[in-house]
Amino acid sequence: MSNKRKKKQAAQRRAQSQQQHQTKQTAEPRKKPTVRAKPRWLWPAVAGVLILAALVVAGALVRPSLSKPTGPWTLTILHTTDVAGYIDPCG
Amino acid sequence: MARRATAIQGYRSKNEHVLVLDAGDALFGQPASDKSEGRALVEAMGLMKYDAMAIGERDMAHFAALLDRSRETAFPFLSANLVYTSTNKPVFTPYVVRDVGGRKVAVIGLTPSDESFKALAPADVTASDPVETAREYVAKARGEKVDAIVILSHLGNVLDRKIASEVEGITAIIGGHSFDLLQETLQIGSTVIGQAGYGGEWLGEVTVALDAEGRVSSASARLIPLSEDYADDPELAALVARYPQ
Repeated sequence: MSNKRKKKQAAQRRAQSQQQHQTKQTAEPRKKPTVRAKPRWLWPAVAGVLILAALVVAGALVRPSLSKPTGPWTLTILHTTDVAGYIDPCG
Repeated sequence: MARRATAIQGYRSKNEHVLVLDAGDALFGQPASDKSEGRALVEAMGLMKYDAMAIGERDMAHFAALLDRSRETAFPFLSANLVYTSTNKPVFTPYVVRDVGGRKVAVIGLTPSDESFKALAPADVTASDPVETAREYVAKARGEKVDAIVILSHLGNVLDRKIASEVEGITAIIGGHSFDLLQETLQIGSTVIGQAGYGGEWLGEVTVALDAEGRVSSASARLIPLSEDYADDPELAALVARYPQ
C-alpha cells in the first residue's frame, strides 16, 4: 500500500470517528452534575444548631431550677441588699 | 420599709426555718439615714428581726458610725475578710452559727477588696482575698458540724459564681453589690445564689431543701416586689415618720 493511500485511509478514519462523536454529543443531552450545589441556608443553619447546642450545655452547667423545694428539712432565706439608706417610699 | 416589714412578718407567720439577711450597703446613702448615722436603718432592721447583715464598701465610708451601730444592734454585722492592717485581727464578727428549727446554720460575711473598697475604707483596715477567706471560713464552719452554710456576700455576682464553683460545701450565697435582680434560681454545683437588686424595692426569697447528708436536694429562688399590695406595718410606719426625708 502506498503512503498516499495509507494517509487517505487514516484521514477517512479520523473524519468518521469525529462524526460519530458529534452525533453522540447531539443525541445524548449533556449529563447534569451528580453532586448538587449546597443551598445558601445550610451553613447559617449549621451554625445555629451549634450555638443552640452550646447554650444547652451552658444551661446544664448553670441551670435555672423551677420546682418548689420539698424535703425532710427546708430553710428559707429572705434577703435584701444595697438598700443604701432608703427608708421610704421604697419597700 | 414599712411594706417590707409586713411581707417578712406574713412570711414568718406561715413558714418555719426562716432567716432574714441583708447583704450589705444598707445603712447610709440618703439624707435621713446619713443624718441619723445609720440609726434609722439599724432600728428598722432590728424591728424586722434581721438575723445578720454583711458589710459593704459604702458602709465603710462611715466607719466610726458603723462601729458604733455594730455595738448597739441585736443582729451582728458580719465580715470575715475585713482585718486591721496592724494586727490582722477581724474588725467585725466573721461568722455566726444560728439555730434554725434545731439545725445549725452558719452565716459568713464577705466584703469586696476591690478599688471601690480601697477608695472608701480607712487606711488601717484591709480586705483580704474574699475567695481564700471563704475557703478558710467554710472549713471552720464545717468543723463545727453545721447543717448548712450561707455566705452573706457583698462581692458582686461574678465573684459569687466563682466562690460557688471553687469552694465546696456552701449551701447558699446571698449576694449584693452588683445590683442584680435574680428572678429565678441560679444554682452552681450544689450552691444556690440569690441577689435582690437595690434600694429595698424587692425582698429576695431563697428556699433550699437539704437531704440527710446536708446537701441541697432541691432549691428555688424568686424576688418579691414590695408593691402597694403590701400594707404599711404601723410600727415601721411610725419609725419612718420619726426620720423625715
